Amino acid sequence: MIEFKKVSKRFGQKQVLNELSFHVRRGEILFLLGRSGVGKSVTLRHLVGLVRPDSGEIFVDGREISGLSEEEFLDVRRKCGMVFQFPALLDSLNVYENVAFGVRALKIRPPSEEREWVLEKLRLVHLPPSVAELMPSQLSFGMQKKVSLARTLAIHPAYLLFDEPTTSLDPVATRVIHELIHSLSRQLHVTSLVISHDMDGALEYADRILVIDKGQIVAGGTPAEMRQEKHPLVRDFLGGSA
Amino acid sequence: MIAVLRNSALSTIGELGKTTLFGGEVIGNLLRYGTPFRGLLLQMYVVGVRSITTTVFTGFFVGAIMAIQIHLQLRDFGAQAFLGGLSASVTLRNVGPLLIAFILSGKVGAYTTAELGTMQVTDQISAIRCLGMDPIRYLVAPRFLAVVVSSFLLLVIGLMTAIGGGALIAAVDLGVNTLNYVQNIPTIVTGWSVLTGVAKSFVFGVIIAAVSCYRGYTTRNGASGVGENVKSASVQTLVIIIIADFALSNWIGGLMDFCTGVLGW
Ligand SMILES: Nc1ncnc2c1ncn2[C@@H]1O[C@H](COP(=O)(O)OP(=O)(O)OP(=O)(O)O)[C@@H](O)[C@H]1O
Ligand SMILES: [Mg+2]
Repeated sequence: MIEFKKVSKRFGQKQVLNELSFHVRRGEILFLLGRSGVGKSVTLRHLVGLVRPDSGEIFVDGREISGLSEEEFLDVRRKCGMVFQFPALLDSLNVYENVAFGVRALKIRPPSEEREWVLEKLRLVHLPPSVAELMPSQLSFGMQKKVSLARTLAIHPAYLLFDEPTTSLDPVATRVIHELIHSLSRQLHVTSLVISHDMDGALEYADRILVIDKGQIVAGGTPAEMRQEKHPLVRDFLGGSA
Repeated sequence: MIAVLRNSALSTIGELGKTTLFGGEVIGNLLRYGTPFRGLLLQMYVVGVRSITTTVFTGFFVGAIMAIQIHLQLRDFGAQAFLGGLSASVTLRNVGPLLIAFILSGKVGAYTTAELGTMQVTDQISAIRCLGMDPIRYLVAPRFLAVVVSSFLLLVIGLMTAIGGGALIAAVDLGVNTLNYVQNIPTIVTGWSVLTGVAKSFVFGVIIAAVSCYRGYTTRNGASGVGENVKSASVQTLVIIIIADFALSNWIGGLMDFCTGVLGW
């Protein structure tokens, strides 16, 4: 379980998170929705130690993580796999090396099992083994996102953190990625925390939806509950999908 | 007005401090973990080899310009015989390292800032951390060392070309016999001149590396942030190099006086 307790974070003058509290249950697919710039990425980055809170506590499986050293954070990073908004592949390495990067650094599998492990992750995201030798620049954006997902799956995380997985994808690719998130979560029994501003996708694929605004959760519930929600921001989000 | 000046002065000093700390962290990391030789060679190829032509070109003309200028001065005193030594000395000790370092900051430094900056704003650096690797060790350390070593080697190559350029222009344009020119060099260029040139080349290399890596690594705000940081990094590098040039000229002068005067070398 992941739990945020009254987490606050400011950058300069700007209070981004203001006593933000929420939790993610084991095994669920949770969508976190909010307008651009409200701090959705910042929230996610707390879980992998890229951002530290000014105050408040963050628990991952009962362990408080905001005070951990960079070294101690390695454990958390094995558990929480981040899929960035941009594919963020290392452009000097080919697809295979990109996917194997975390496997080596975090010692997920011994070298003898590495190749099989990496190719299996590519298969999970529906990429043929032949892409392994290609460079990121030779792939379409959608394929790069898949490689990026495979790279995160390769560290075998218990929690998958998706930062706007479908932003700047066409509707077909959006559906493919949403289906992947859904099937992988169920198949691999991972917990998924998905950041998005796509209410349609959330209503279709989420177990639970939270809406964040001004640094706090302003509404939340199952997709069925959210359809009935009266909060104006939620109505705005629903507007597009009514 | 005064407040604005004070704030910008304070923030400049703050940036300088942060750059120094960052450089220290990278050097500490290098000392602790080293860096794979292959990666270093690759980086040196990427940043260094592609700058050789520019450096040779610049070096040649710096040497030629110094020879012409000094020739004009010496001619008035009928002292053309000193042309080789004087122009080589001025080139080695001052003008050469400074001008070549300026060119390198625009090439090697700008390239490094842009590359690290792009990796930062596209989350590649964050991704490396999330995958359990230290980006300072993996990305910055080899680049830092490659920039220091390449800049140093390029500066030395540039200085040698500059001296060659001076000799050539003296022979072709100024009517000074090359043998006389070359023979005159050691009468004025001492070990100290060489030491000054080498020391400056090394320090300027470290400055280019520290500023360009720091600026690239701390880039924010997307593509425009990359452009902004490339620009500010090159300005900052030039200013720091000039200040360092002043300080080094002073110190090495003082050290020389100390060694010759007190120790009697
Ligand atoms: N490292 C940082 N330094 C300074 N400000 C930051 C930093 N990271 C984020 N911010 C600021 O925090 C605010 C929230 O950013 P964040 O990226 O979390 O928004 P978001 O909800 O993910 O938006 P988007 O939908 O555009 O991705 C923004 O105003 C951003 O400028
Ligand atoms: Mg974001």
